[in-house]
Amino acid sequence: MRILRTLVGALFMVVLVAMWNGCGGGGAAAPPSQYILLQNGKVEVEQGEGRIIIKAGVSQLPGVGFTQDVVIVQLYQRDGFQNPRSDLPSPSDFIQDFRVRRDGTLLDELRLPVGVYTAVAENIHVRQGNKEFRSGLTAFVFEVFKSGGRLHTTLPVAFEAKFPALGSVIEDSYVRFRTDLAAVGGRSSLFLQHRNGTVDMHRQLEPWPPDTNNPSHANVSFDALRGGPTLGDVQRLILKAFKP
Amino acid sequence: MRRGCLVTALFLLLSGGVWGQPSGGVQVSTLWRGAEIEGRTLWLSEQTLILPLDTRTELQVGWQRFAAKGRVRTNRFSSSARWLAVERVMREEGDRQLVLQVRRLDGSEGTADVAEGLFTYTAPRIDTTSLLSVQRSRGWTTGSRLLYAQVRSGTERAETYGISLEAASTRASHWQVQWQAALYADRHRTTTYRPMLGVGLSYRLAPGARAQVQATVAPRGFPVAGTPIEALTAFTVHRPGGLVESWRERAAGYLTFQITAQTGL
Repeated sequence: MRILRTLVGALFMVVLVAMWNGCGGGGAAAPPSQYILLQNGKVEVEQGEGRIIIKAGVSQLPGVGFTQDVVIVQLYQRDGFQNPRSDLPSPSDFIQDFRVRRDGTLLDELRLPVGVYTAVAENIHVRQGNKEFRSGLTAFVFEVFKSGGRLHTTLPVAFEAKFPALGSVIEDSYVRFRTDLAAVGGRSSLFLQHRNGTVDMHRQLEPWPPDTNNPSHANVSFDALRGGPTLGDVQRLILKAFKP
Repeated sequence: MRRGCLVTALFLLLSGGVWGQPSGGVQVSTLWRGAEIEGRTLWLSEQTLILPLDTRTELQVGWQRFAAKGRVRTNRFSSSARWLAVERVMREEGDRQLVLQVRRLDGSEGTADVAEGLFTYTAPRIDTTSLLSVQRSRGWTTGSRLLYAQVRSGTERAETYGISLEAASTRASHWQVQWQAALYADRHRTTTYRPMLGVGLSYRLAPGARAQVQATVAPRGFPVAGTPIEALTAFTVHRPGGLVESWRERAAGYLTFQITAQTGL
């Protein structure tokens, strides 16, 4: 008992002195923030017979990057991620595979009638210098719709994402994209599931540029909150955009 | 579900065992904690069950649920946790005891429901080992505690070392006074030292039943683990922002109201 009391007393003094010297204070320091910048989504379309033609060679899937030269992406009917946390597209909704390059550029043309579609890419791996971003599954749920006698899609015509690199704090990151003007007033959502938690944000597609009488696009921006957590391995990144 | 059945089975088994114990008794308590910091509020409720296994060992199980509300009242951070502890008297000499406690707290996912969206944070697991030296003399029970807690949540790890001095009056009167002074060394990327003080008053409602009010303050914020609100503060390893970080980054305190009942089983 005497030894324990001596031990307790000694430890108390050590801690007291260390505190007196002004060590520490405040909250936990954040790890340095590092980001991966992706600007790779665009879509060029033509009007077909009751179908919209998404052109190969120029159109790009948003927010993806691969280590292989050619990657197979699956296309499904309907929203395959009604519950983005747990759902997977049903095999009965499968339409076709299509090929994309490592930067997401389509190698196969897509001809789609009016409807909701889910494009699923697996094993996203983007490396910029010594920073990297990985996602086990990335999906884009989009819509082909008729407006003003023409077919439109909610696929991005311009996409920009500042993803935190693995191990970096999520704050200051964002996902922004612009799509067809006819989608203004529609809904968009972002769901991210990673090792340290989930992010689930919903926004409305707004006119772009803002505060003008002649907007050219519909725009949406998902900006991270201040603070953490740090980004762990990403299991799912699901972006959705629907018509009004 | 399976884990819930296991806990229930364990509880029934232990309750059966406790029925035949010659001394001690089953103790149940329920408590509420509340705090307000710059317009942000915290509410925490906890139920605890203490089951003596033999004259030297007891098993403790507890459930916690908390909600922290932001300045914008619709902003809310909530979670729950359950914990299991075993306490054993390692040595006993007259009025002195040396007690070892091993405790595991399993939190559930923390959910921040704010205007910008719904954000969740991976559930923390906190393993705590503490050594308590207790001495009873002249109407007071005094104790000193050494504590080590390890927090794991997703990719984050944190450690807390603590030392505390505690005293409680044990006179056979309706009123009893308790106080506690503690100092924690909190390690998560950097090391931070955080003192904590607590003063309480308890009143005997009936034989075996007491009500207690306690005020606890942490002039430099609460540590990640090692305190009764660790199920909340463990989420600070993820820096979830204003609602939770207030309890770690600045002077903070809370009030506790507790009712304890002990049966003579």
